[in-house]
Amino acid sequence: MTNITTEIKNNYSIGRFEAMACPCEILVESVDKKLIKKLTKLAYQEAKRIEQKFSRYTNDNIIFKINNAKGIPVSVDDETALMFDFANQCYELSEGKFDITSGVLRKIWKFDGSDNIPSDKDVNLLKPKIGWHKVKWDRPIINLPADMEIDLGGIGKEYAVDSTVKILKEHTDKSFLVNFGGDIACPKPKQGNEPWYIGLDDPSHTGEKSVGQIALYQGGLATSGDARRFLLKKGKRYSHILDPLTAYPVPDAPRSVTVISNTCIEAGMLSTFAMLQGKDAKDFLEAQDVKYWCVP
Amino acid sequence: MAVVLAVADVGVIKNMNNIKSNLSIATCTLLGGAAQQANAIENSWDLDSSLLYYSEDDDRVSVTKAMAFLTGDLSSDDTVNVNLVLDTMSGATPTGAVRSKNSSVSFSSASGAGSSTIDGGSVDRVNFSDTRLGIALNWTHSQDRLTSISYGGSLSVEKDYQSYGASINYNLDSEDRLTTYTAGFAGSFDEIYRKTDGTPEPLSVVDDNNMFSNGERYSYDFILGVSKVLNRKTIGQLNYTISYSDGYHTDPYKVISEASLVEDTDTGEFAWAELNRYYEARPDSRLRHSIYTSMAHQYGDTGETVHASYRFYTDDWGISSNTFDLTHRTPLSAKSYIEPHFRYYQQSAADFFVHSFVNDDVSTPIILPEFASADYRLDESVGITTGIEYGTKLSGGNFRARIEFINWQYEEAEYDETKALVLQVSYQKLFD
Repeated sequence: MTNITTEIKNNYSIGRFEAMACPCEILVESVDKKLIKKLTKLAYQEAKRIEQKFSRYTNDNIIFKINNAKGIPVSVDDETALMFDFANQCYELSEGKFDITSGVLRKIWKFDGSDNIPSDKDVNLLKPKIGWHKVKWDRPIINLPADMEIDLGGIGKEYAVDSTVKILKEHTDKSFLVNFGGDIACPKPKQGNEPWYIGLDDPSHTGEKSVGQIALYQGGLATSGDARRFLLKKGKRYSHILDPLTAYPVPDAPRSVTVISNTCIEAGMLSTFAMLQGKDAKDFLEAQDVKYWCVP
Repeated sequence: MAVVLAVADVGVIKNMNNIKSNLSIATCTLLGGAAQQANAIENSWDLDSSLLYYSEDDDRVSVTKAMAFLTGDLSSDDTVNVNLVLDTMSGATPTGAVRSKNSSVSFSSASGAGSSTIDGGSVDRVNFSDTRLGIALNWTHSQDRLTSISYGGSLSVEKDYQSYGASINYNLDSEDRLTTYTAGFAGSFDEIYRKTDGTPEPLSVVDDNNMFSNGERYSYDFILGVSKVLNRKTIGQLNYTISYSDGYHTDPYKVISEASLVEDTDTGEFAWAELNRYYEARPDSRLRHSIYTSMAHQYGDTGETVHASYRFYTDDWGISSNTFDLTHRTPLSAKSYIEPHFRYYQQSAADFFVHSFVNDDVSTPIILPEFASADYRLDESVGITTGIEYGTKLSGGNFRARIEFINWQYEEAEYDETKALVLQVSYQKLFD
């Protein structure tokens, strides 16, 4: 755990580390050095645990086992089962647009700012390998067709944020905020009902310019969309949000959508669902009665 | 029957509204926090309250209906609906008797009115007032990803009518969840009586006041249905219902006149003269079949929705009917819509429907049939409804207002037209 650092500020403290391929931080309304060290360590352990458990880049976890079962049913633990139940409900709520089997599309869609648009042939070859409805999920048994893959990347980070909040709550009564690469949650406001302030990146000037500050009293915040990840061909911009039903990027999707909701994972799903609505993203968000910021 | 498949609303906004609350429940299950979970379940209730005013012209029936429909999730697998209805009914309703000028027969009042009421010297219609309280409960439990079972119970109480019902429905989704099959059974028990207790002896002379005990009726409904998502914007539905009821089907207030058509020597016009009056009699069983098909289609960039349905009904009393219903929803903005409604209803008369027992030769007693009714609702008729609904989203809920005009034309009945106005305002409160 060499990469954990902590810092005491005026009236709060920060703990930082790297996990899930992004910078993570914990802000606690306390200047207690021991407390911030303990909470940061707990957060780091939880982030790493979830990363190792659900990452598809390792070869010794449950996701690897399922993805390499070649059509043989696999029995999963309770936590994984809850993830699949949740993914299943998101699949149904989004009418098939949120699909944890759609990760294979990344093989042909590489959003590196180039003009490498895959051919229709490549797209059509991949299409049969996508579709949660082809997966037999009968808790606790999952049976994934041989040539398909499951990728919990669309849920994992947000889940880790909420899960970390739950653990830290057991160790402190202070207000705190968990931020894993921009996916954020805080369980209660600061003393005197004060919010945490979060800077919102301008997607076209990441890290340089912010489009505003958001006051987060409690709940979760998540952003979908990334200005650096796109393809450009003949003046047409392809967003990195892929529609599993067409295997193509969603046309006219906003550049980024930020949502505040009850939990981080809920905010994450709402922002993702909104992106998947393309040009109707704003109407969708309006109908949800949530706080949101949409960068067209 | 409490079998309503989700067809009526494929409107974009409505679908979107469900997402956040459903997602909250899903999230809570995932995160497994008991406190958060209880919170979210509390938040997932929605209350639809509505006030309906129905008024027939010519001072006939008017009904004020207050309705509350509460729906909520007990868990991610259990949904509960509670439906409450309070009706206040009053006005005058045709009894079935002819509009006679020189009637000398008195008639005791229908439902609710304490003393006998003679309307302007005539007895062809009678004033009434009553209150009905209806309660229905429905619980739907998801067995697994594809199957759910609903259990329902209902109770309805009036001063002269009580009804108890129970139902069970089984829903099965296809593996791709695009098709839903439904099979259901409902049973009910009704008790029917006059406000003053008992029921009149069928086809007895009203003046004789021969009373029997209260009427009882058992009804059984079986339904088979399929609803299919035809494409991302179209849903179709087909239902078949067979119902059998056994017991007392007669209306204890309806009567039939023995009458002859006489010429008014002053005006030269013909008018009915009532000679005698009998209570009606209906068969003690009824077998009904109905086929219902509907299609909802959304089109256009703004989400216009057209909903069309057709119902064919036939029973062993000789009544068959056709109902065409059409609504078209046009969004006015992201938050509001307008929806015109048109309905055409046509039915044939029951085999035993009569205008009256016509007797041109007063000296000869008439021969009474086994069954007879002069109730205009059993006559050949055409009903046309035209209306419009406006709906808008307010902060924390949805508001709807509806106005409808209904016109019924009856072929033979003494009162051969009913015109009615329906006004309804509703507010759906979403607790989120």
